[in-house]
Amino acid sequence: MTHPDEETLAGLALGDAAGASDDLAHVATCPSCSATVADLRRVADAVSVSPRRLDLAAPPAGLFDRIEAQIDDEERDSEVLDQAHAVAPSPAIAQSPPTQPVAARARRRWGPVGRAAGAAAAGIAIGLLAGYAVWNEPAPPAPVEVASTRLDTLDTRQWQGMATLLREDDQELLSVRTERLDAGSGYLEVWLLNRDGKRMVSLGVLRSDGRSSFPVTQQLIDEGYVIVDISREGFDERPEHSGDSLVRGTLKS
Amino acid sequence: MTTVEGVLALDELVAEQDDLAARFASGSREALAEVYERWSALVYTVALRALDDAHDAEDVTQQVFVSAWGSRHTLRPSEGAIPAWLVGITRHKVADVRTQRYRRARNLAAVASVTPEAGSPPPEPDIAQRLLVAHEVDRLGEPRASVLRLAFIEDRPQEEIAERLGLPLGTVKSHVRRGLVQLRSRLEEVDDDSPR
Repeated sequence: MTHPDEETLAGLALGDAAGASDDLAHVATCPSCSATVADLRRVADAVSVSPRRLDLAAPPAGLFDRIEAQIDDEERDSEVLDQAHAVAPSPAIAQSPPTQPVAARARRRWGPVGRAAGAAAAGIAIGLLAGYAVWNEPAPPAPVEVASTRLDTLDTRQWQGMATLLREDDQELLSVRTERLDAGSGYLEVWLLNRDGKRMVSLGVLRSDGRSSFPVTQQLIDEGYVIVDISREGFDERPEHSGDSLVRGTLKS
Repeated sequence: MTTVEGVLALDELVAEQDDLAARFASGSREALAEVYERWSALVYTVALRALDDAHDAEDVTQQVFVSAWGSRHTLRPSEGAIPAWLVGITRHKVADVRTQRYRRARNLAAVASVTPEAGSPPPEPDIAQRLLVAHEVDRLGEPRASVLRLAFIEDRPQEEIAERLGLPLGTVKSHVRRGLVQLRSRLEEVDDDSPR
């Protein structure tokens, strides 16, 4: 038998099936028709809970301009990328001279951590440009301490270490030094919590010797992210804070 | 009655929609402006009702249109289903904002040593679906839209609807059935995998 048309199925979905026992019998055995009937029934239910009048709010004026601007930006970016791929494959990019020595750039970005890495590299490969740049650079200005806090356990307020906010070359760095904290079977993660009790950012993983530095920004501090928190995290699929805080302290200048 | 005219007008409307969808899909910025003009209020209202925050709703609206433009090639022009497609994208964006909010709340709960509730974010009340359905019912044109509203929202018997609107009972029955069939084809888009 051929399938009944959709209108007939709509009639069945609504239960006005007078004189359509053939159709009913068909639908009972035809998976595709019974799915359509169920669909139409759902549509009817959806209409029954929809608002009688549609009161729409207009988006603010100027939004379309911003949408177009964003689209323009993204299209320009993808064109630049396309061109870069087309004209300058990776070797050409790699050969273009960096604006400053690699080691110096690394130091700018990472501060003491990068410098230590640079020095280590120089030790291994003496005479290479990277090492040369490190050893011959004028001594960088000493980092200035901007704020600091004790890191205490949450329950018994036991001293476990310090966190210090340093500024060097207009870059902020949070330096953390702790006693050996028990990471359990996971690892330790350093967070900055906002004073408003609503927001938080993850700075990264604390090394097992309890000494790590993390790049931060003055803006973050100004926004109220001043509570240093170290949590114990498991190797699981949950990127958020585990709730298992070991130590905490509020930065004070 | 005006059934023949009504059907004609509807066909024209559908044809026009298809054309707009085709122009949009092929990258016409004018079509983008037109789509925005027609459906930005629907998108914005869905976001506003779902998120209850004008700033977030504005943000979501912007993302929806940027994202729709970016994935315009996935819009199937023949279906004339632009609003359902847009609302589908809106739902994803709204869900993203809700998930972010939920995570933030859960992180704080975690930090405050309050036991966080396990599981996924709370289910989204289906504002999107409801507004879209109301919008699509409006788009059916009169008298079909009124027939459907009376039949389903107000749950009136078809005989009463016929009497109230001065239509033959057969016409009312046919409007109800055709209306459902039309709505089904237009609402199909929403639940499938719209672009994010």
